[in-house]
Amino acid sequence: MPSPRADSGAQASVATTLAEVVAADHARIMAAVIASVTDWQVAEDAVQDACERALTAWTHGGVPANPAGWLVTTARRRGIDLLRRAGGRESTLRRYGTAVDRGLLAREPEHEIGDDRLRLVLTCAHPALSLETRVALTLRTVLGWTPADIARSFLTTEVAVQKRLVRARAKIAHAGIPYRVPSPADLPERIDGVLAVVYLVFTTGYADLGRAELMAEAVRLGRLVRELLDPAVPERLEASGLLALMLAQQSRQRARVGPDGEAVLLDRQDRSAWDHDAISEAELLVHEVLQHAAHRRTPVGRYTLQAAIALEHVRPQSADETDWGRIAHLHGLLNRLDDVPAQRIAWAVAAGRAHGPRRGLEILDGVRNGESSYLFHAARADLLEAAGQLADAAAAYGRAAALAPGDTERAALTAKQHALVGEGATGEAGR
Amino acid sequence: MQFVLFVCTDPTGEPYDDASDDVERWFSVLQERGKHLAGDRLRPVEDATTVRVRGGERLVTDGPFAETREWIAGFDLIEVGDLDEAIEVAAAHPMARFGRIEVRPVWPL
Repeated sequence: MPSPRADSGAQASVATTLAEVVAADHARIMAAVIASVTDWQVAEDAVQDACERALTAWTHGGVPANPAGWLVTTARRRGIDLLRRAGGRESTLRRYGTAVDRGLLAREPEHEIGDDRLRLVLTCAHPALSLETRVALTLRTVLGWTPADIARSFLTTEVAVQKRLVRARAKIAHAGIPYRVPSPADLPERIDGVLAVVYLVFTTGYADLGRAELMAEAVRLGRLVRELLDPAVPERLEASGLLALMLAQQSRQRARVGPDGEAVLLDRQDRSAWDHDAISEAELLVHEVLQHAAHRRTPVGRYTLQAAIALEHVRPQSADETDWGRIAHLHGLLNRLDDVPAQRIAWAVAAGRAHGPRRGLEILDGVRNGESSYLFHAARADLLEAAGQLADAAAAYGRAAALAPGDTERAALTAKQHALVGEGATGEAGR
Repeated sequence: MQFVLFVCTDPTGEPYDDASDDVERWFSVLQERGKHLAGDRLRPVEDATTVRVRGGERLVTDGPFAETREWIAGFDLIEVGDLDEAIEVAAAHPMARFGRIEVRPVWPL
């Protein structure tokens, strides 16, 4: 007979196995259980319950050969139980009862899970849900994050995340959001929605000095979405583009932060610290997309263009060898897809480097509502300085500093302004 | 599944254009498929009356409850498979362009 100590040791190792199975196969498990019980909240509760049962059952009876299949079967049974018992959900059972029973009978014996992940991913990103909700639901349901994890990453509380998730599952049930892959006509828009969720998770991780774990999770999700899309579907190209973009950005993570935790700008980064495997993979993906697009004569999507730009920055051996002409060209193409201020500012900067500050200033003139953006004034100041209009440049740096969102940016801009105005010209600047 | 489409005016809508108002075609396509259960225009807010009972007292006032530039101009009750289909039907309604359509699932008692 095992001693209590050995027992708790065995339970700990079972808990680890369980956590690994859930982390690796969460989407597959949830997708299969939702397919059987239909109600997302019941599926969620049933999978939680199955995990708790697994701890005991696996500790005593050993880990089954197909742990994910075991969880699905147990969760399905539990889900049907929940549907039958809960009086309030009687109508759900009445409506879905047949499907529930059929699902159970057809699938239980062989622990068959199948792959319903694409419709799971698409439903989580349904346009009838708000973007924040889509993100939370995707992280919880597809990647298996806990509400606490989600709260930490998106600066909110666990209770708020939990509420959002419960509301989302209720809306799916009540509003008639279907659990299926939409028709080919609707697919492009719906996949755009999924990619937006993936990229939002990534940019949240990339912001400030970056959170490697969050970026890695976004990459994992991006890989999954790409893998689930049929290569014949044109939207897969943008999924590849997005994956390439994330890999290219993520590749610089180790070099973005200096020894004292300070941000290191691109041209000062230690290029040997970059993740060159990630860069190669991104290069391959972008190459593949550009070839397909050329072959099919279809326009290149925005994620692919952004990935191509990011790669132009990381490809050369040193910052001096950057091909600004090519970057400016790519920014021009991107701006043709959608003319948003931040993108146009980036185009102006690149064109300024490639074709001279006059060209950059011309492009900058087209920025909508630029006056209220510190990036606009900062870019304008740089271009004016390069064009030799030093007094105008100093004034623009001052305006940028006044609008800067943080102390670091403000200090850097004020320093540039002072350098132009000369010694002793401190005073009002940057206030 | 039944949905009510509330056809609303919306200041951000595209300017009304008589030539592209194809509501008759929208209606006949739905009716042919047996998906349109009921629906009509509503008289404008000038003809609306608001009724409240407070403390047993009946309060009847002229016009809608709140002053607004957006009001319900009509409604349609449709029977479709799911929200995606309801969205498709709503998007095909000309008032989706000139105003907006609020899609509400019916909540049977």
